[in-house]
Amino acid sequence: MTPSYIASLLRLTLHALVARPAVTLSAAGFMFANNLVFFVTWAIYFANFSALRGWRLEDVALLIGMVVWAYGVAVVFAGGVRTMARTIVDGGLDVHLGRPQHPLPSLLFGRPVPSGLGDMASALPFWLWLGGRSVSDLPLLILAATSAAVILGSAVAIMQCLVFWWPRALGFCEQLYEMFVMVTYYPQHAYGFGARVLLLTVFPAALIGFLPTEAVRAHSALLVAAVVGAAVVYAALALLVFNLGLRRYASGNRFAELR
Amino acid sequence: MSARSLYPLLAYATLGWRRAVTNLLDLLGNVLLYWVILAIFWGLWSATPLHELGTEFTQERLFAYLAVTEWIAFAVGLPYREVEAEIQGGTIDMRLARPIPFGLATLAIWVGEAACRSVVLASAGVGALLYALGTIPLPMPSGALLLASVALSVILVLLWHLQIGLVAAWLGMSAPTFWIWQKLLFVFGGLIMPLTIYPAGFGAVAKASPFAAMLFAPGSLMLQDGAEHAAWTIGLQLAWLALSILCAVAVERAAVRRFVEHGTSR
Repeated sequence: MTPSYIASLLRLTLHALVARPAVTLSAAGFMFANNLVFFVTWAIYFANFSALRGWRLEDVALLIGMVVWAYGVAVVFAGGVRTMARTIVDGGLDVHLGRPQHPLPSLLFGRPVPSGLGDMASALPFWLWLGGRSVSDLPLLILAATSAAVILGSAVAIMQCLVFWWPRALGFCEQLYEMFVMVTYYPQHAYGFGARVLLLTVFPAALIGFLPTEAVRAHSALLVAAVVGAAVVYAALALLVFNLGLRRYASGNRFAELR
Repeated sequence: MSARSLYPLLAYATLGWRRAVTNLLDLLGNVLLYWVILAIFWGLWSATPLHELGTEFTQERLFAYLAVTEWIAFAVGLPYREVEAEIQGGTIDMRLARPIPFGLATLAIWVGEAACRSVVLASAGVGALLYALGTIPLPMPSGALLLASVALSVILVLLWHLQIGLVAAWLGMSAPTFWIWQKLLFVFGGLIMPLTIYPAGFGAVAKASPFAAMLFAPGSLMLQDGAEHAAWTIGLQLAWLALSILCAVAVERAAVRRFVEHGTSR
């Protein structure tokens, strides 16, 4: 898994995006609008209520900016993560196993999702306009949100690996993924202690939006380091789980389901 | 439409029901997702200074409202994807050749699936309400009305899914149209908050939109009692249902015309 190999894969991913510019631009544009429309709900909420446990509209905008950037980066650069479970169940992993490098990078860094560019672009108005942050905050925002993207991609990869052990859980993996993404969009400081611990560890939704947002709000180097550290840990964990699952992948083309 | 022509539709609906019921893991995932959303908003509403509203909205009422709107959203699922996939794959021509109109047959299957999910999610919703509130904040006659209203909502939303799926006949994909439509449904339909707490002008626009009939109307039965409100709810839904049927028929005819002129394989 050399850096030059990963760089080549990422280059191919970007080429795939520009191959059909009209499709890419329209999907990105729709996603951009979609994210802004969703924010209206929060605007209405804060038109009625002064704060949500100390959070105001700007803080929620910051959080949504974090999540959409993380999601956008994950699906643009590692779009294969969305279809990983299906690829495994369909026996499509064979193609990646036949390559001279570890199969995970080629599995992940393919199939870019064009709408992810719209997600990434919409993060900027969320941060700079609705979130009231300045351009000087951008490096910190991008660092925290890109780390969150690594956590998101890794957590989703771990969820998708479930089909190595449980091939019939394909639909369940999809719902687990949707559940995960959905939870990330809401501020988690309103929950109880137990729920927050769960959201910072086993189901790390709070590491995608809430913790990076708190890191930027507080300008806390410690929290930023925690997010970056979590990204490294979750990436390693995803690799470990994938390797463990790979030992069970012994099919020529498809998993044999024992009913 | 004669009673005899209803048999194939019933068969399609049964097929849809079976398709949903045999996929137990999907049903389980739906229930979990539904509970997670309810848990998120239970936490959010409990952290919200509701006294600032200055009205009678309580955490319990808003939670019950959300249980209904999310019930509808989850019961429907994302069926537009099937139509989109059929158009993208060019397999829709096989469906068009059948004696039952494509839209009608597709809707019948979806109604069967949604009915199955609705039953499961209703049990999950009742469980969540009993767990969180210790009671179901709805008298029995209103309960029957709520079921009728939810059924109308589900059909209404499915009619729009059909049209969104058919958008792929022109654009080659339906997903981007769906994203925007879905977010408009969430905002103008009052998925999370009832339209009555929206700013006056915005709330009036939302109430005049078809989205209000899809989510807010049935959800409002958890907030407001009385025959007058019930009549408004059902009346609004029936009016939008009639309009939506006309739109769906027009869109399907236009899509079929396009397939005939341009072919189905992309």
